[in-house]
Order: sequence, then structure tokens, then C-alpha cells
Amino acid sequence: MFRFPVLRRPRMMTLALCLMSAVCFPAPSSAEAQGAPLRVGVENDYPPFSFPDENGRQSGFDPAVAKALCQAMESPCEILPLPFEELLNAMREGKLDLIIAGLGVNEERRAYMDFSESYYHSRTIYIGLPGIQASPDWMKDKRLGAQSGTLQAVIAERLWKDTTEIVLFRDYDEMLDALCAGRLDLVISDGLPGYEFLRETRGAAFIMQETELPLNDEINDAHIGVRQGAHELLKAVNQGIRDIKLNGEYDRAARRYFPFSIH
Amino acid sequence: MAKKFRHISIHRFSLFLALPILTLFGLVFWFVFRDLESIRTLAYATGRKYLPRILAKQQLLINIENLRRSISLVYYSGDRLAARNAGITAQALIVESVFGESAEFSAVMERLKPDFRRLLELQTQLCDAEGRLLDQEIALSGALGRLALRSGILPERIHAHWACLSPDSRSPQNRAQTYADMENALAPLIGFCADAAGTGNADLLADCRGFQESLHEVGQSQRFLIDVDAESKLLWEQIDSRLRELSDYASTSEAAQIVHSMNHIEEETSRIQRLFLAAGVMLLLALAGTIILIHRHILRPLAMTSRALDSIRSGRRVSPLPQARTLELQNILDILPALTVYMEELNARSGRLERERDQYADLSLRDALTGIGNRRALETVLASDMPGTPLGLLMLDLDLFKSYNDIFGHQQGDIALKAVAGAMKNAMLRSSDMAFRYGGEEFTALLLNADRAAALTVARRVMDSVRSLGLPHPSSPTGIITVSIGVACRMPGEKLSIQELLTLADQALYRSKKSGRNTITMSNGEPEEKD
Repeated sequence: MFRFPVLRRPRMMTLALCLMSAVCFPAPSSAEAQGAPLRVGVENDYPPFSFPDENGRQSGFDPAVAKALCQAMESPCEILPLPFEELLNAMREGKLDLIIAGLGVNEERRAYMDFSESYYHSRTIYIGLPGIQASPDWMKDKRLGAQSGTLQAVIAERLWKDTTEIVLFRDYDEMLDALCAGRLDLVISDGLPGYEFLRETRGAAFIMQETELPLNDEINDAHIGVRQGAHELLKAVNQGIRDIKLNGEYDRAARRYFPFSIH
Repeated sequence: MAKKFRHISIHRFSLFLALPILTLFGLVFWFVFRDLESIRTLAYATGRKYLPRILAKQQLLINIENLRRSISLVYYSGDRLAARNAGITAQALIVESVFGESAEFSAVMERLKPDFRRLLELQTQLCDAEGRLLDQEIALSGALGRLALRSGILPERIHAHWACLSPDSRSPQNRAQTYADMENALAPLIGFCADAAGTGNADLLADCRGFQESLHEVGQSQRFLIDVDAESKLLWEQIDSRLRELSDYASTSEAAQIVHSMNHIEEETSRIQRLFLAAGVMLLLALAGTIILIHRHILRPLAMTSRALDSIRSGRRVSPLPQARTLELQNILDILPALTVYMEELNARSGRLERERDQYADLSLRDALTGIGNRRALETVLASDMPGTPLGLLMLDLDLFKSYNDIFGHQQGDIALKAVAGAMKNAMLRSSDMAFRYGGEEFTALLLNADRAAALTVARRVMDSVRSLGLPHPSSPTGIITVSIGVACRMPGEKLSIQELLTLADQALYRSKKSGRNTITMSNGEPEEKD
């Protein structure tokens, strides 16, 4: 050992030691170095996905998924409830890192954010009094309610633009109130909150009707919106979604709020 | 004829060595890479496809159970709210099609949907009908009451079955039995009304008619309910069997596939292990073989060459060397014998040259005629002189040599010179005494370690020696050739150089000549000998 010339040259020794330590102790990855909490936007009142509970804390499937996801990503989270359209605006202005609000992918939104893999599927339904039919004859000159900015609004536009009067509401609850008050003939809604409504007493009189959209249509997928350009975060989120589906956290959240196992 | 010994060029030899090892590496690499690739795809398929599908199928089974439970609640439950909620859950499950998208599933679901819808309808109708029945039964009891007052007959044990709440009442048998029981219990009143037909009592007849109508309506409702129940039961059984079908579809082949994949991976990894082991052994053998071959065909010839060159350098003869298989090395070995010969010749020539050089050196210091040292030789001696050592110097000069040459000629003169030189040499007995021809007829004698007496003795001997030659010289007063001698001595410790001694001896010689020749003169004395 003592014959190796490197030991007699201090500069070479230090260089060798530096290289070895660089190999053995790589610099910590940027994800672990992230100290600041992720700003997660959720919809403020859209049961059972996101709603304030009796203590005023934001509960629901989306906040539950947010907590599970952040735990899986080993990163602290800050949950910010906002009305749906303000969520999109806040992302546009770069004030949010993630949006967990059942977002559907469309080109318009892609302009200012990236999307994760799907974190659940949900169908679109019509809700109305018994006797509603999703046929052009019946729908003619009826008033159809939809929540503005949502995919359901897009579907309504696509299917019933010419036949029916489409009334848009900023707030989901507002739309349901209008239905209950008789100001609308039917509404087009995301399935899961729709079932919730039907199980309430005020929804007792109403029934649901499926839409005739193909099962595999991407329009049924809900994604998590990610701040544009944050590639590491996107990868972490996708991995996180897979992890929580595998380790049972996702099912735990779903069971609390949905009557069945959604994926 | 002996078989020709085949040689391989060294490049071809290296190729020959490298080729098996490279081939081995290539094979191992190819096999291992292929296996690793298949392991990778299997692992990927397991992780990304099979496992998620298994989880999905698990979810599926759970959901089918949920659906079954919900629909059974719709069918069985007397609690209207629970039934409605279960109905919404079931509808949601169907709408959400959380059962996956395969064709078989969709087909079964499509058959299930109308049945379920009909079941929901029937349940609604059932509850409504039960409500109506309730009203009708209340009306019946009113009619019964009035009739009972008129007739005085009060039926016993009329079973009241009010609400959808009691589960017992829902089976068709129960309903039929209940109705039958009721008819039996009311038989007396029916009989009474039949009799009353003839009485003509308008009020009685009106009451009877009311009673009979009421009973009829109740009967109708009961029958309706029985039918609804029967249809519901049928639908429920159909739905149940369809749900079992769905469960069958959910039995997974993925688990089997995963086990299969894992077995495959296990096989492949053990194959890779064996392959590595075999390859390792073969590699070691190949390396050993390579080392042996290199040693035999390259290293050994090189070692032989080295030893042979060593011998040549030491001047020894090189013994014949065995053949080497490598062409280039054989060429080197072939050169070695020739090299030996060249070296020998070189050595011989060197020796000759050296001897010749010595000879020439000697010649340059030798006087050609007399064979004794010449002046250059004397000067050489001067250079190696150590002042302070005793030294005797004699300067001789032949007397009247010029006239000898005139009389006898130069050739005779040369003979005379030679003779004198010889005589001089004879007179100098010590091995350290040196004789030189200083000039044409001048000679010098150098006597190391000689004192005055010894020098003088030698000088006298020289004189006598020359005289005893008896060479006739007509011009000489003695009639023979004589010499004049000057002697100079350096005593121990004297710092005289030989050059200075020469000068002194020369001066002494001059005095000898001046005093009549044939004389010895010491450098610091008067002429000594006279003849």
C-alpha cells in the first residue's frame, strides 16, 4: 500500500477522495430538498368531493386524496378551497401547485397547466323529475342547467346547443336550488355529486338518467392539474396516485364518501 | 524428410488468442442480454399490467357484491327510504359502469338494466299499491262497521296488515293466505248481504253494496300486489343470476399469469446463474490456455533470445536454439548465429587493430636505423620524470663522423652508427638504463638512480665498448672510431629537470670535444680521460 505513488502526492489524494465522496454520497434529490408546502387547490363546496364539514374544515374526497397523495410524496400540503373558476384562474396566475377538483383534460386548460394521470372516472348524468328523456324531441325548448367551466357544460354545448336552452351557473348548489325550485327542467351533472343530491331529502323527488357517451371516452376521466413546467412534481404526483391506489389509502378515502368503490 | 515446422505470424497469433475469448464474451452477453430483456418485460408486465388488473378485478368483485346488496335491499326492504337510497346506489353503480369495459361485461349489464329498471318501477308501484290497499282496507272497515251495526254480526279475527313495513306480508303466499283468511272471516257478513238482497231495505242494500265494492277493491289490490310480488321475485332471481355471471367473469386469469411470469423469471434467473458459472469456468480455462500459449510461443523464445544475446556479449558461443512457432521471433532467433560470427570477427579485428596500433606507437618512438629510442622517445621520458630522483645523463657524440662519411660513404656511416649504438647498449647493464639517438651522430643515455661514480663507470664502459669495436677511421688520431662523452648527474633532492641536465651534459660534451675528443667530461669538472 505504501508503494502507491498517489499517497505521496497530497493533491491527487484530495482529488481522489472528492471523487469517491461524490460517488458515494450523491447530492440530495430536489424533491427531498423541497421544504415549502405544496399549494393544493380544491373546490370549496361540491359534496361529496369537497365541502366544509361542521367544524369548518374542508372535507371530502378531494381533500382526502390530497392528504394521502402528499403523504405518499413525502411533502407537506396546504389545502386552499376556492370556487371552481377561481381555481383555474389561480393556476393560470401561478398561485397553485396542484388542483385536485376532478379536472377533465382539454386543450384550453393545457395552455396553462399540465395534467396527471386519471385519479378517478365519473360519468355524466341528467337529473330531473320522473319522465325526463335525453332525446331531441323531448329536450326541445326545455331548460337544461349546467355548472360553468365544467366538462358537463362542454357536453351540454356539444349535444344540446341547438335544441335546448342551456342555463349556466357558477355554483353547483345554485344550480340544484334552481332545479328544486322548478326553474329548470333538468340538469346535467357529474355523477358522483348527483347521487349525493338524489339521496338527500330535497332530491327525493328526482331521478337520474344516463348520458349516451361511450364508456372509454376520456371525457369521463378526472385528472389532477399540475403547475406547468414542474416535471419533477408531475412525475411524483403520478407515482403518488399509483402508490395510494396500491396501498389502500385511495380506497379508504373513497369508502368514506362514496357508496361504492370508484377508481 | 522431416515435417516442415510451421510458423505463425505474431498478429495472427494474437488474433487466434483473442478470438475464443471474444466469442465467449459475445455468446454470454447475447444470452444474458436476451434473458434479462425478457425478465424486464415480464417484470414490467407484472407491475404495470397484471397487478393493476388484479386490483381492478378485486374492485370489480366488491362492486358486484355492492350492487347485489343494493338491489336486494331494493327488493326486500320495507323501509322506503333505505330502499330508495339502495336504488340510487345501484343505479349509480350501473351508470358508472365500474365493472370494467370488456364486451362480456357490457353485454350482461345491458341485459340487467331493463330488469332492474322494471324492478324499481314495480317497487314504486308496490309501495303505492300498499298505500292504496291501506286506504281501501280502512274504507272496508268503515263499511264493515256500518254493516256490523245493522246485522249485529261482528266478524272475528280480521287480520289487519297495514304497511310495507312488515316484511312477512310481502310473500305471495302470505298475501293469498291473508286474503283467504279475510274472506273466511267475513263470510257471515257476505251471507247476510246475500240474504238482504231480497229485503228491499234501501239503506241496507246501499251498505251491502258499499261493503261488497270495498271488499272487491281490496281483493283486486291484493291480487295486484301478489302479481307485483311474483314479478319482482322473478326479476330479482334473474338479476341475481346475472350478477353471479358477472362474478364469474371477474375471476382473474391475471393471478395465474403472474404466477406463470414469476416462475418464468425464476427459471431465467437460475439459467443466467448457471450460464455465468459456466462462462466463468470457461473464461478461466480460456485465460489459462491463453497464458500458456503466450508463455510458450512468445515469452520463452524471448527469454532464449535474451540469454543468447548475453552469451554473445560475453563472447561465448551460442548453442543451437529450438524452433519458435512465432514467425517474427523465429526471425530473431535465426539472426543470432550470424550475430555470433559477426561478433567474433569484430573482436578479432579489434584485437588486430589494437596490436597494429601498439606496433605503430612503438615504431613512432623507435629510431629506424639503430633500433634504439629516438628523440621523441626521450621527450616522452622527460614527461614522466620525477625531479629529485637521482639520475645520470650521458651525451655521446661520434668523433669526426663527417669525415668518416666523406671517406667511406653514408652507407658505411650508417653501419658505424648502428655498431656504436649496439656497443652503447652492451655497456648499459641495468634494465632501467635507456639509450636514445639524439641526433645524426649524437646519442644519449639515461641512467636512473645512478650517482656520479656509477655514471662515470658506465661512461668508461661505453668508451671501452666503442673502442673495442675497432672500426677503422683514417681521419681519427686513434685510427678507430671513438666517441666523446659529456656526463651530467642529478643528485637526490636536486631540482634539476632532465632538460637542464641535457644542457649540462651538452656543455660537458663540448668541453670533451674541445679537449681533444675521445674523452669523458663530467659536467662540473675538468675533462677526465685522455687517450
